[in-house]
Amino acid sequence: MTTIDVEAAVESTRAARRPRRDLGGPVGTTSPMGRAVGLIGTIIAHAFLIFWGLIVLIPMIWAVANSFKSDIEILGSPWALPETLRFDNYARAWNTAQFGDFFLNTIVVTVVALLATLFLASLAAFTMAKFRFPGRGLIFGLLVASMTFPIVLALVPLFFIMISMNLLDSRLGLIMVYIGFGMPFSIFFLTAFFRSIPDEFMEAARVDGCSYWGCFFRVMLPLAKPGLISVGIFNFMSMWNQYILPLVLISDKSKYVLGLGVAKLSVDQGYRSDWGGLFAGMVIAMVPVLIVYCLFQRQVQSGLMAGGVKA
Amino acid sequence: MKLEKYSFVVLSLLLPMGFFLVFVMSPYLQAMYYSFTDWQGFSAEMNFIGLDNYTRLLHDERFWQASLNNVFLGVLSPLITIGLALFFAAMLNFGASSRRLGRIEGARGTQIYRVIYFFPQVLSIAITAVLWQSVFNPVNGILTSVVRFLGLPERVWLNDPSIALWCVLVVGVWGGVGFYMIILSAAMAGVPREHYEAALIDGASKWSQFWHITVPSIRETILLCLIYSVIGSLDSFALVQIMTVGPGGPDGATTVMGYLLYEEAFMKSNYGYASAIGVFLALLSIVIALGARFLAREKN
Repeated sequence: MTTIDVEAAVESTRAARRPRRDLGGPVGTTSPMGRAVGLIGTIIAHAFLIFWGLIVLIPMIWAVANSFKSDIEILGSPWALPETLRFDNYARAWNTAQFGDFFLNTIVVTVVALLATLFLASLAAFTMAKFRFPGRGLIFGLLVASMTFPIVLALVPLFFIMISMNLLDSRLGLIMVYIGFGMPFSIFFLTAFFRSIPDEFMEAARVDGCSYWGCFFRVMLPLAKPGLISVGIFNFMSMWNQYILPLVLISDKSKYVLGLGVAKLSVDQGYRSDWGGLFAGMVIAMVPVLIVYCLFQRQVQSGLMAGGVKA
Repeated sequence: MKLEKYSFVVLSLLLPMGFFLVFVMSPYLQAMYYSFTDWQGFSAEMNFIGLDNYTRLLHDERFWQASLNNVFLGVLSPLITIGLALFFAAMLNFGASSRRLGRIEGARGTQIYRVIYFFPQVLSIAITAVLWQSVFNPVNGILTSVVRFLGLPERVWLNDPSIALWCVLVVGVWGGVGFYMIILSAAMAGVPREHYEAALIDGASKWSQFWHITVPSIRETILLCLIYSVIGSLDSFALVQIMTVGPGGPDGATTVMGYLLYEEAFMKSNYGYASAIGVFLALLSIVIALGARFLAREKN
């Protein structure tokens, strides 16, 4: 996310509800002939679009269907719908395969890390946006640099840092690492957001005798709500879906998160196969994040779009 | 007054930067240092060995194979992903929303594509990998039954060294198209209408409008997408580690640098050597990012 123009993203997050009739697109002819060609073109376009839509959806729907089937059905008739809805697959995944624990772990780790990230990043972003002080450029430089490095490079030292802090194999440790990795993007995005809030708000509060802390909590934080929502969703998705960090930092099965749990379960398939349980586990991991995405897809897309337009 | 300001600045940055420096920045810097040592774990001693790890890299056959696989994914995956994303974005903007010219959002019937196309991006990479591993399963995967239905020769997909890497590529493309499609279609809708009106007077077809007006107008966005995509496909760690046999096989056919690092570090305890692989990968990402930025600036 380094080169994305965050200010534009912020602007577009705000403009998301405004219709955009002024923006152009290719222009078609208006003659009857042209209209007929246009109609055929539209049908062909939809055909292509539906084709890819199916490619995206079929594996996912297949997984959902399999999560209700018996192993015999899964092995024998891959395209058939489940004969009966076997919720026992879910019961097995939830209890025997410990997906109940993984689910709870994922919720706890994601929610705590997300709230802490939002609070700390908005505090830092407020300072970065509204104050001039020595070292500000350096901080920005470090944040940018960290976003160009691949995460795998950090794994080895991180593993030993966690050991030395006694945080290996602990949910608290995982939360702290998530907060650290959430900082660069969140601070970046929110700094641009705070910059877009006029200084007058803060000056007025200062005249009324408000401390800087008061300015932040009572004036700026409420104004930054739309920005916090956007950053919050992106962080939620990446924290809920995290795989590499828990893979290295968590080894006790009772502390697994969902992504790790599904991956390990699939490796275990070689030894004792429970296909229905595996697919049920996948669905358990997939559904919450899909729901959050569908609820907030407007914010997700407008954030991405602005990045692209102004890039 | 000044004191209040500076104490606020310091206090407000203390925790956020603390988390960032301890858990993100310091590991990166330490990794660079480890890459010059022969460190093998807790009690073993750590000697500074200069560039030895890097010269060892050059003679490591597996590293070369991993690099080749990385190049394969790093070139083909962005080209195919961005190519498809561009195509579907064009279909969305030219074909499907012709009545309401260029409205980015809310155009009836096109919003649903945007939402669905983005689904793979919302899934954990671990879920994507496990899902596709089942799709590729030669016994009960849906791909095998499709191939059977079409009467094509049956394959063992991920178990076949000649196509296993292609399977990884397919999954990467599946996951990426929607993300880039949304960015590109927004850029397309942002091209000013007047640009097209001149072309209309000349009687240019939609196809030539696309190639001669749309694509050049959004060239920078395309380039940006290519950079993201190259850097993303350099790190195909999770797909390879979860999905492929071995992992990284068969016969190293799908090994990538990220997986090699993981194996050297967490299975063989060669922490110094693993760090050298990581530094090499980081350098590659940075060179690509800077190079592409340079290219973009040149053309302006």
